[in-house]
Amino acid sequence: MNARHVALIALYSSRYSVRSGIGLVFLLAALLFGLMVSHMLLQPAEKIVKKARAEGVELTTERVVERLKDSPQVRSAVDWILGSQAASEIADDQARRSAQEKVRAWTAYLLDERPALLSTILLILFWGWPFVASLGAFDLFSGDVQSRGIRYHLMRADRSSIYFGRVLGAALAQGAVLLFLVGLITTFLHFKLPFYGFGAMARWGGYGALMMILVSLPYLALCGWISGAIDSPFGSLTIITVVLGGVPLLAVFGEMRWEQLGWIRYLLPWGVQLNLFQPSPVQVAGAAAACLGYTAVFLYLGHRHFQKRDL
Amino acid sequence: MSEGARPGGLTALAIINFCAAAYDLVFGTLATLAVMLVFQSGRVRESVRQRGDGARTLEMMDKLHEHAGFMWATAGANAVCGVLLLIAGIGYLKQRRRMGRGIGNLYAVVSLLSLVSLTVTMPDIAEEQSVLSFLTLLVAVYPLLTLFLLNVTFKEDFVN
Repeated sequence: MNARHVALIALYSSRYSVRSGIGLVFLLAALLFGLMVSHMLLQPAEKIVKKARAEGVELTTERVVERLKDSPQVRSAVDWILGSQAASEIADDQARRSAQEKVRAWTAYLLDERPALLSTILLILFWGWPFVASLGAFDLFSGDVQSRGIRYHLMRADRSSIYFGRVLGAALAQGAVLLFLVGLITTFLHFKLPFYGFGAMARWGGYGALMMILVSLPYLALCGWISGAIDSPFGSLTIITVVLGGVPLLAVFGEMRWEQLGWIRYLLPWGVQLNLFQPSPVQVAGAAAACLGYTAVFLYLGHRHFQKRDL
Repeated sequence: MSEGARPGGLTALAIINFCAAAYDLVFGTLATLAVMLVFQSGRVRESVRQRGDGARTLEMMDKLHEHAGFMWATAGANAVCGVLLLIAGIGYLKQRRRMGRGIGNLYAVVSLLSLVSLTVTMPDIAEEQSVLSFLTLLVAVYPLLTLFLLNVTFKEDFVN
């Protein structure tokens, strides 16, 4: 493997990713997904303010956001996302109470100590992002392998450089899109909800964007592995989507029948990725290490297969 | 660069253009016109009034009637954008400088201008839509992206 080749391939593949149809579709999907989620969360608060003003009641968006985040429905929804269901199923009384307390503290951290609306947007983006990321990376290799176009690259660079260069290029391109998207959402939210203060919004938005980049790495590595193993882009997209959606579904439904099946979720970062938003730095560091670990494993498996296969 | 060397992104942009054109023409223009024609019809108005339980609908109809000019302008802007998208999409596929890049740029400018003017003059029809929202950004994304792609990414690809 040649580091200069890896850097060159990464740079070119990220710079020209939009020139391929897939890069363009990913860019549009990412922007539409992020802005749609933000719109759906901000609109109810604005609706309530407008309605109240029309009825002669003076109400600010700040009061509405405060009321919404303190409402039991929103609290229990965030509790549920963060794992209150699993905590409530612990048999031991003391352990259950302690786990539920931890989930409540986590919810309070996200909704009270950080800009609540931005936290909720980031949580939803976190769940959907692996699917959006896969839209931009399912054809890292499969199309070129199918058309035999990759043979032209093989005359100039070795397989390892091509493999790592393209995965790195996809990570750079997706990182840039993520930074732009979260920057846009954070800036716009600040104009809409200035009471959080720009510093707090920018810090939390920046942190969220970095965590999303971190969590997209293992999914990109997985896409690289599957895309390098399957000659058809459509087949690659299908398998990636089935794997990404199937793992958490199988875990959720499987553990209803047999509790141990819940461990399946740890085949992908689904089981640990939310810990990147934990209040405790130790847990954040653990989740970050796990994400990098998943990335390393998927990269190793993908690279090993790509080295041996017929191109 | 020959026509055969059309980048995949330009083909994708053309397909997205056709989808957006269909959306603009069917939902933006025809649906708005249909709603206006139905709501402005005296017969429909009378039947709602006779039913006795359509106070909210009548209120909505009154508002739409009051802001008919705005609704017609929206339908018109959507129709113009839809046609421009369609022509530009064909131009992208044929890599034509005027029909593709020219009309594509024109679409983006017309779309952004109509978005700004409609947003600024938007009446309070449904009491729920903020003047500047994420939805406005969402609608602005495609024309802005079109401007960027046509003038930076695919600048050299319109060879005919």
